Order: sequence, then C-alpha cells, then structure tokens
Amino acid sequence: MSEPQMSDAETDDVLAGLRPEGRDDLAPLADVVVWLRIESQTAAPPRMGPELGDRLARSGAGSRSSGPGRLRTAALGLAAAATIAVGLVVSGSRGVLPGPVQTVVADVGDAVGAAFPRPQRDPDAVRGPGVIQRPDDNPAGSHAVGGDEVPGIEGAEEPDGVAPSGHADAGEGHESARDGEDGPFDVRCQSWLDEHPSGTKRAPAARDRGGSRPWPGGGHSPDGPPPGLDRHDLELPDGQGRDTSGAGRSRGAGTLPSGQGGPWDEPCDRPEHGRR
Amino acid sequence: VHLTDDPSGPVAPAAVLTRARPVPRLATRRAALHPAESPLDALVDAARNGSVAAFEQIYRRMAGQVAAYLRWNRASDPDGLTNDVFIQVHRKMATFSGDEEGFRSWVFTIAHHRMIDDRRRAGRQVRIADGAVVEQHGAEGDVEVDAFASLAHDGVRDLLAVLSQDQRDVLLLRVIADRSVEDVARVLGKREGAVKALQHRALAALRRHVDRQGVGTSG
Repeated sequence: MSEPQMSDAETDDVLAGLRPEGRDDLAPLADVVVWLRIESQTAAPPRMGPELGDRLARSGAGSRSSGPGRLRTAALGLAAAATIAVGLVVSGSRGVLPGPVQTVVADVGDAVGAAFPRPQRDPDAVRGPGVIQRPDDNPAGSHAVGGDEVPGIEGAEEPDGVAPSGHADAGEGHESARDGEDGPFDVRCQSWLDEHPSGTKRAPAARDRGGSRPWPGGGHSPDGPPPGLDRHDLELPDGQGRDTSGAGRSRGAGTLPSGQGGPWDEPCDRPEHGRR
Repeated sequence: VHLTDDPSGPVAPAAVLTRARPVPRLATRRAALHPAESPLDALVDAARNGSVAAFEQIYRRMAGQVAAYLRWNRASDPDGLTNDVFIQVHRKMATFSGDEEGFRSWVFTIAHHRMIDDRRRAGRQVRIADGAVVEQHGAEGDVEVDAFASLAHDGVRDLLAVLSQDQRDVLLLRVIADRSVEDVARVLGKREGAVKALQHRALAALRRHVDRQGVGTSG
C-alpha cells in the first residue's frame, strides 16, 4: 500500500494538532498530537527540589522587588536596629546619648518588645528648628532634618532596598511630629528622603501633605525649606546631630554580626550628605 | 482544516485507544493550573530583576511541560532533571535577553542539553517507569478516567517508541515544547532542512505504525 506523501503544510497542520482537509488518513496522527499537547500542558509541575528552593530562598533574601524579599529585608533591618539599640544601652551609653537617639532606641525597643528608657524632655538639651546652618557648616554630613511625619517601618521596605539604619528609626520623627513638643527634627539617613526635581531632598510626607507644614526658621513653602536651604541644611546645635549619628552608628555597627552589614546599615554621614 | 480539540475535553488518540472517551477533568485541571495568567514576558522581566515570586510563577507555568518533554524522551529522572533545568535557568536568568518565545526556546535548550547529559550518564535508554505513569494520572481520582488515561499514555508511549531518537527529539520539541522549525534547529544544533526531514520521517513512521495496528480514526 503506497502512502500519499505529506506536504509541508500538511505536516505543519498535523504537528499543530489539526486535521488537514481531505486527509482523513492523517486524523489519527493529529489526535495523537493533540493528546500529547494537552497532556504536557496540563501536567502538574514537579515538586520543587531542595536545591532550587534553597537557591530561591537565598536570592529572595537579597531581592528588592519581591514581597517576601522586602519583608525579609525589613526583618533584617529591624533585627539590626534592635541589636544596635541593645548595644547602645548595654554599653552604658544611656546617660550619654542625646535625647533624640534615646528616643530612637526606645522606639526600636518598643518595636522589638524590649523596654528602654525614654529621654527626659529637656528643651535645652536639643534645639531643633531655630538653628539653621548653611551646608558648609555641616561638613560631617549628619542631618537633623525637619520633623514631618515619616513612615515607620515602611522605610525598611523601600524599593531601593535601603532600610533605615538602626539609629535612625522613623519612629522618632513620627512621634515628634505628633507630639509637637520637641519641634520638627530627628536624625535620619538619606534613604528616607525623596529626590526632589529641583535637586533638593525632602521627606515623602512633606510632598504628600502638600508642604503645608511650616518649615523651621519661619519659611512656609509648599515645596520645602526656604530658598537656598533644604532639610539637610538643618542641624542640631552644638553638633548634636553629628554626634548622635556617629554614636549610634559606631556603637551599633560594632555589635552586628559579620555579614549583616547590608543595605540597611548604610551610613548616614556619607560626605555627599552635607555638601549639597 | 478541522480542529481536533474537543471542547468537552481532550480526546485520547483513537489511533492508540479505540475506546477512548473525552477526559473531562483535564480541561478543568488545566484551568485550575493557569488561572488569570500574567504574560510570561512580564514574569521573565520581573524574575530577571530578582523577583522570586515571578520565578516561581514561571516554574509553575513551564516546569510541567519541561518535565513532560524529559519524560517522553525517557529521561531517567524527569522531575530531578526539571529541577536541574530551572536551577540553571535561575543561575543564568540575569543574562537572558529576549521575548517570551526566546525564553521558551532557551529553557528547552537547557532541558535538551540536560537530557543529553542524562543519556550519556545512563549509557542506555531507560524505559519510562510504569509507576511514574500511574502517579501522573493518579490525581484524577476517577478509576475509569484514570484507566483510559493510562491506556492512552501507554499507547502514545509505545507509538513514540517506533521513532528514532532524532525523530523523537524533533517531534517532542515541535509538539510538547511548541517550538518552530527554526527554534528546533537551534536547540538541536541542526539545519532547518534536516529538522523538516526528520519531522516528515517521524510522522510517516507513526502513520505506518498506526496503519499496521489497523486502528480507525476517531469520530
């Protein structure tokens, strides 16, 4: 029995699971192809093996775009903050730390379920809004910035993966702004600030609230600080902002286990911070 | 040209299973496996940027096909090899550039290379374990459906056994991986003309086998 040849088009039809018109003899092959296609497309994926699972888990720890990865980053940032806080208090710095840092420590302690003393509210200890320095006056680069509300733990999940460093927990700014007692200042890293189109930096909350909050020093600008200044230009008197930043980082960083100095431990006093 | 896909469910090939009836649950199962799918392009982009969730979706989307390709090619451990394939995919994900079709071709190229390694290791072609077949269709939970599915599976397996390795490679890449002739040629490292010739011969061999079996066409 001689079999009719199959044209290229008929072959393609059969391999696509179609019955070429007028070629009923090819129908069984088309059926086989359809069955194979459906069988393979409906096959359940095999269970993910431990090696692949571990690999994904490891990459998830460093992932910046996935939800689980971001949560993991946040958890690491919180753990680091707690470690720093414990290190600060245990090392006997309780009485030495400036008020804002003590508050930060206490807030971090609250977040992790540990009780740390809050500072006495001494208006003379820290003066925030009244003192504004030019960028050149702040070479060390630490910042005491305006105290608009800032997100709390959300900062640990920033898209760029930079979580707040331990000493600059956002809780401080949040509390201060709400209390309205100490004035709008806190200590925070650059990672908390948004880049403004004009080239200045400002906290996200200022943008979200339309900049209705008056800026320290009497300015009231919808876009941020008075002309020529931005929040990085604001500093605590007597270099306290510089000191607190350095104290928190230097003490805390020493308590961190090696290998955990990830993006959440980004230093606050990078030179470019103070030279805008 | 008539589409052979029965809307009530996939039809077991009459060539190998004359009593075949539609397997209604497969369609339901397929819908359950792929609800409201995101475009693979978007998943690939996200996975390339480090999204684990996107990679897991890609795995769920493609691993079954890859495993099927390896299984029908008689790989000794299709599931283990599938994991190896996706480990390699994940390792090289950042270096991939291309669209969805390019990604599919890339994945199946890796799968094919893994299968060749497996063949070399085994030194012989390993028959598909019957247990694996039973397990594959055991999830249906209906004895009659399972029996038909298993018979169809065995029939197709026997049918493919008449093909040479090259013919089977081409046929499975064209059918299971849904690759074009050009893609298959790239995956196998052959010329397109050679791939066309192989698929012609493969179908001719299958047809001869069906004719010898004296099995009629499906109605």
